Order: sequence, then C-alpha cells, then structure tokens
Amino acid sequence: MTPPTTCPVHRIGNIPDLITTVRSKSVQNSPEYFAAAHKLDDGHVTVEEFVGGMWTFTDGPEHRRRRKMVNSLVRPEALDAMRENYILPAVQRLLDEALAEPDADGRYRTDLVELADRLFVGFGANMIGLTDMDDPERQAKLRQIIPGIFGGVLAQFFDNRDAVFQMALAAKRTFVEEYYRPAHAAYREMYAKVERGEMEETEIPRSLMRLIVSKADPVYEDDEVGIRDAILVFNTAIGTSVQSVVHMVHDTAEWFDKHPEDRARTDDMEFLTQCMEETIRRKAPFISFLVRRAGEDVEIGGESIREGDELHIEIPRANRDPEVFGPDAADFNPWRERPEKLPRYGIGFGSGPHACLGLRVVLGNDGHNGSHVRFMQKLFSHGIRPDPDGEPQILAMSQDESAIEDVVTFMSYPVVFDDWTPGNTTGEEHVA
Amino acid sequence: MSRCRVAGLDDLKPGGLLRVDAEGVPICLARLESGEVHAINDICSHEEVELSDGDLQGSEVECPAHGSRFSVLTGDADGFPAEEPVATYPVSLEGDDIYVEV
Repeated sequence: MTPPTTCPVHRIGNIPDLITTVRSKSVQNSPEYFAAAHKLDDGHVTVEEFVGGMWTFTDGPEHRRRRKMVNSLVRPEALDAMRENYILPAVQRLLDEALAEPDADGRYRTDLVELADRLFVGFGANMIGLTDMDDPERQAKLRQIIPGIFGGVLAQFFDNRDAVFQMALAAKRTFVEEYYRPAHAAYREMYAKVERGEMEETEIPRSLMRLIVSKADPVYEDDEVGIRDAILVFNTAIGTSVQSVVHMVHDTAEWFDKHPEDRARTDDMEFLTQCMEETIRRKAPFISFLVRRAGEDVEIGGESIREGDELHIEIPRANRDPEVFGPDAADFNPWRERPEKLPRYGIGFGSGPHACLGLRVVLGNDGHNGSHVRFMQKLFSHGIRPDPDGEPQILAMSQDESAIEDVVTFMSYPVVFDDWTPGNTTGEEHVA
Repeated sequence: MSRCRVAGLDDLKPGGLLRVDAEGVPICLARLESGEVHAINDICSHEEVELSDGDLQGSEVECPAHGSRFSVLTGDADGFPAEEPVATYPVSLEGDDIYVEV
C-alpha cells in the first residue's frame, strides 16, 4: 500500500472548490487514502476486508457502469414498494412494540436510535436481499454487528483501533457466514428455478443480491466484491439513515423551541422535507470529511496540488458556507431561502459521479415523499420529542481541526411521545 | 431552425437511446417500443452527464449517474434529483432516415 500518511493534505471546505474537486477527472477516490486518513497505519485491514473494490471506490468507466447498475435499486416502483410495503407498516409495528407500556409517570418513552436501527436493519436487509429476516433473533443478531461493520469501514476515525478491528472482523465473519452466504445460496436457487422453467426471472426480488448472483456486472465474478458492496449498502442504508432521522428530531426540537408556531406543520411533507434537507445540509455524511487523492497535478481554488496529494473533502463545513447559504448558514432553518444553482441540501448527498445513491430513497422520486421523511411524519404524528429526562449518548471518535461540534454519531437518543395510545394508529388522541 | 438528418432507423433499436449531434447540439434520440422516435437534449439538467448513456424505460430516460428521470415526450424532469426539464426537438421520419429540427 502507498504510504499516504507522508503526503501533503489539502482541506477542501468551501462549495466552489469542493464541487470542482469531486467532479474533476484529475481526482481519484482512493480506498488506501480513505483508510489512512487520521494517520491510520494499519489501513490495509479496512481496504482488504471492507472497502477495496466497492463501487464507490472505483472511478471512470467502471464506476459509471456499476453506478448505472445499482441505480436500478432506486427506481420509482422500487421506492414506492420500499415505502408502502416495508417502511410504513414496519414503523407502526415497531412503535406498537416499543411503546406498549407507559412509564410510571404515564409517559411513553423509547430510544430513537434503537427504534431507527430496527427499522433500517430491515430496510437494509431488503436492499441487499438478505433472506429469512422475519425471524426476530436474526434481526437482533444483525443489529448487534452494526457497530462492528461501521468500525471496519471507518476505523480511521477511532483511537482504539486494535479493538475496533477485532470487532470489525468478527462482525464481518458473522455477516458473511450467517447472512450473505445463505442469501446468495437462496438467490442461486431462484436462478436455477428460472433455468428449469419453474419461475420467471421477474419474480426474483429486486435487490443487490439479484445483481450479484446474476453477475449483472463482471466484477461479481469475484465473491469479495459482492460482499463489500453488500457491506456498503449495510452501512449506508442503516448507519447513515439512522443518524439522519435522529439528527432531524434533534434539530427540529431546537427549532420548535424557538418557533413553536411550526409545530403545527409536522404533518406537512413539504415542511418536513425541508427540515430533512436542512439536517442533511449541515451534518451529512455525519463524519467531518471524506478523502480523495490527486491522480495528477491539478489546481483547485488557486492552490497547486501535486499528484499523490491527499484531499480532505469537508462536506459539513462547505455546506455551512455563509457566502452560499447566508450569514446564518451554520444554523438549522427549514425556511432558509434556496441558494442559487444548488438544492436546499447543498452537497449533503455529495456531488459529481459519487453522489449518494440513497438521495432518491431519503427524498423520494418526486423530492417530497421519501421513505425517511414519511418515517419522520409518522413519528411527529405521535408527538415525538427529545426526552428531557434522558441523556443522548455520543460515539467517541477521533477529532482534528476538521471536526464540527454538532456533527456527531448518536449511540442512543431518548425520546418521549406525547400523542400515543397503544393501538391508536392515527396519533389523534392525547395521552399526557 | 434547421432540419438535420441525424441517423438511420437501423441505428436505433426499439427501446434504445442514441447520442447524435445536430448543428452542434448534443441530442439523445429515443425510440419507444411502439416505434415512435423522440429527441431531447442529451445533457442532464442536474449535472453534466450524457442521458444517452442511460436507460429508456417506457417513455422515460434514466440518467446513468444519479437516476434522474426525464420524459422523452415533454422533456419534463419526472424523477429527482433533476428538477429542471431538458429541451425537446421535433423529429420526423422520411423512409429510414431520422430528422431533427434544432
């Protein structure tokens, strides 16, 4: 592996330079540099076990081909099916389970991170094509390995890396042996049935596993590439999704304290979408920077960058650029005027060829009816707010000059529901 | 406005897309399964990506980069993240030749 820790590092933290950088053909998406950010000496574990060969870590024609392939997972009919057949029914079931009994004071409380974990584990499993996921024990075991998989991909953001790697490798073994391989075998059997004329290919569920088993791209001849692509979907569909909804509840609660008149708008999908976009703008991708490598000498923002230099792409910082988003750019404001030539979420989903596949899931095909926002609408219909008696837990991660105080990973987030009655699916009855 | 021969029908199978240039304008030709041929600007209104590298599904083109969708009938952006339409161009067929007005 190239020793990137000796390379000069350039911080890219404003919108024009960041867009130029991520769209430049002179800039590469290097798994080795990504793994070595924060001076991680043993980044080869991250590269070889977790991120090397993922479609997001390829460039040029291969990336374009593979991205086009996975775009099929977020077509309109797939988004509708995810939202209507999985997300919304699952939210109701999970709320019924989590809020079955009130606390001694009559209030209904739960932990939003756990609730969202449970929702998005099922969602991620659907996207990947994992099988037998109706089994609560399998769901619970999959939830247990979330931190390990997260740590394997992002070990460079932790100080206790030996422990992180041990947990990561154990989590990967569990994921591969107990989830990935059984699903792979089940899809192979479905394709065998298609060959025998016992079922139509269109009956095979649309999922990443279908693409892998059908070898929709030649890279899937290598079993490890399929595993790493599945790990990518696992991390993003669960980890990033969970943080986006928890942060949105956090951000809107602070907003409602200052603007109580907006509480009445929590059934308005346009308002909620603008809240989600504002949370994404200020905090996504919920780490302080991504890493790129200069593939050749290039000038960005008047600065000469040499081939091989490391580029830190500080998305949350750039998305708080007052010249683009106004003097209060660092603050959450769902009524913020949309900037010229940029969406409300700025570059929160990235920009250029590597922009986030999940954008269409979060915001929907029409930009106003996304799964995540509908989830929020459901929570607000039952009066969710941070529990004043609870203390959120935040994951301890490495900090450097790129860190932003409120860009954190919540490990728990206690909430209380003011409009919940067990069995009431509308949120119309007030219990507290 | 000028009328240009841009391709032959044999160059464009039903359900297919084809990049052509007319008077320097990048155009994405789309031939529906019904046989109708339509022309829209080839550059996605979201980011600078050639739509002709994408897929035609029914009467919508899916951008290969981010999955934005455009109606080849109207040019309307029917799928996020694109929000602005792309231009459409009149198409006519003469025998096996495809003409576009730009």
